[in-house]
Amino acid sequence: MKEGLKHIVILVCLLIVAFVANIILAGSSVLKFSEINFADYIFTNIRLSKALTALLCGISLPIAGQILQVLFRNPLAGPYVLGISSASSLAVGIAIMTLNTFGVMGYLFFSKTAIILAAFAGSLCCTLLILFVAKKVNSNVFLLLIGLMLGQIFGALESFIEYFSTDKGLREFVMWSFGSLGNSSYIDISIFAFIGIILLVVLFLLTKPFQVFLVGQNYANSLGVDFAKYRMYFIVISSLLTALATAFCGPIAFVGLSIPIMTRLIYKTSDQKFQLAACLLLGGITMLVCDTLCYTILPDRVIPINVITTLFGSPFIIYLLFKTRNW
Amino acid sequence: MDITLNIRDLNIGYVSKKQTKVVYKNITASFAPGMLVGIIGKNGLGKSTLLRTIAGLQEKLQGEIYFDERSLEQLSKQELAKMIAVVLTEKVGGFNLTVIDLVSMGRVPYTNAFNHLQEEDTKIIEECISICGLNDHKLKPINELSDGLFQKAMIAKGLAQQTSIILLDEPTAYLDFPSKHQLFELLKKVSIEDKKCIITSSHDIELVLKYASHLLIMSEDHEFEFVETDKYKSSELFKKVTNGYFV
Repeated sequence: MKEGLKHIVILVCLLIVAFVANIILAGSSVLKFSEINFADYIFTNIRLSKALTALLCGISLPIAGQILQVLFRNPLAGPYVLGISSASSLAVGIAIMTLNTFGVMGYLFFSKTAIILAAFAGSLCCTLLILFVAKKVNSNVFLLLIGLMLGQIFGALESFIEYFSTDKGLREFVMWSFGSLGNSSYIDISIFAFIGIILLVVLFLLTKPFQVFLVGQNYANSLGVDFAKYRMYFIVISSLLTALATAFCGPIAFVGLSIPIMTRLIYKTSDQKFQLAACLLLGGITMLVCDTLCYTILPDRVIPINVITTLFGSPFIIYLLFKTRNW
Repeated sequence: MDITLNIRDLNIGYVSKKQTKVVYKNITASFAPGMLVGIIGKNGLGKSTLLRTIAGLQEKLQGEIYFDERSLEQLSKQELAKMIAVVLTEKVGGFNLTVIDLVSMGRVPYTNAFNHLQEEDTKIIEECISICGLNDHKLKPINELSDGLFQKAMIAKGLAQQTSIILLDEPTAYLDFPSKHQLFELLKKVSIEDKKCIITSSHDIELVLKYASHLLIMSEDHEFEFVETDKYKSSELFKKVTNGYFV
């Protein structure tokens, strides 16, 4: 446990460094020391809000991923694999196209709220579908395949809508699907943080059943943990976290799947309190670093966040897999 | 802690919307502390279904299951978890689970809401690991264990649960010959020394005859017999189920 605490402290320090570095570096120019105060527009309304969004995103998606991976006892599970992200995307696609058709897209507050609500609704619908299927079948592989197929269906429907969309709507949707950390106002960030923190607190209160989920349905039940009941809770928590991130930042790929795998490969413990904490911190660090890279790799050009997370994250995981071999 | 398990006219099987599939009918038996019961019978007769039904992992169709004076339905999941431990055929592992992590799971019915292990819990866990001969493998990931060690780890988890009844579903499948013997020796020792009631299904009839105190015999024709192992030679059903090989 002491060992664990040491790792957590190190990660927290790294997170603070990544956060500060992100604020200073991730933009059109390097911030001067004199510009770092709340009166400065760029610092407060662009850099700080973007860094906070990156942090929230980096916290919520890996936690969602870890929940699903433990739930299905499969490292391939993640918000993306179960079709939850795709469902969010489809719903947002429908919302953007509809709003454009009726010509009300221009009203910024209205359309933003619509996108957020649509992402939530999409994610929840998919979650309910997954829960429904989960009730019918016991096999995890079966359930994952169903999730993948659902994702494919949502993807196809998305293409269908895109095909018939107006140019303007299409452009907006494509921009949204690149994922963006820079569009959040402080109201958005407050909502994101508020709901996110509530979900994390609930999850913290449920760490005992979560730990027991490691041994699967039958053993969990035989240990007095009501698997069916808690499975509901966990699926709801993970999809709300996914919905939040997708609603405010677009479909951010990869971190939800990769960070939980990374923490398990780096920290060889099955203690889920530690693994969740590590996911949360490492996820935050990764998003902040990736966002910094987006702005610093090419001069005068910003690379979409999804490109960076995948391009740098995947090789790192491959490296870890070869290094550790067994897991 | 000594609980007698009574089963009366139990029908087991599966219920779906369309139909009810009865797997086995009219099972009646009484299991007392200190017994090591071997369930024998062909594959697909319902040995696993019976064990799962007794453990409360699956609904019974009819009949009664009593733990002393209380029926299975009257017990909460938590209470049941303190009475019955199970070792099933399914594999557990991954997510950095080590032997000691797995055995610690046995304390889950007793720990607080944050699963905090008290000193006593830790002591019990260490004891169970030692009883099962896993001292050298405590920190090994479960994935890396041989089948024999894995079964022992699962049994250690069951022991850590401190129940008076332990159910095992074919624990000796996939094991090599010495491991099979070791496993049954362990079960025998625990049933006698700790006064536990152990019910295990197995296809290793010669081992069951050697170690078990009682036999629960299931046949294809839904015949059913619960006898002391010493008297197996006079059991017609045993002769029938084993094609007369052991008489």
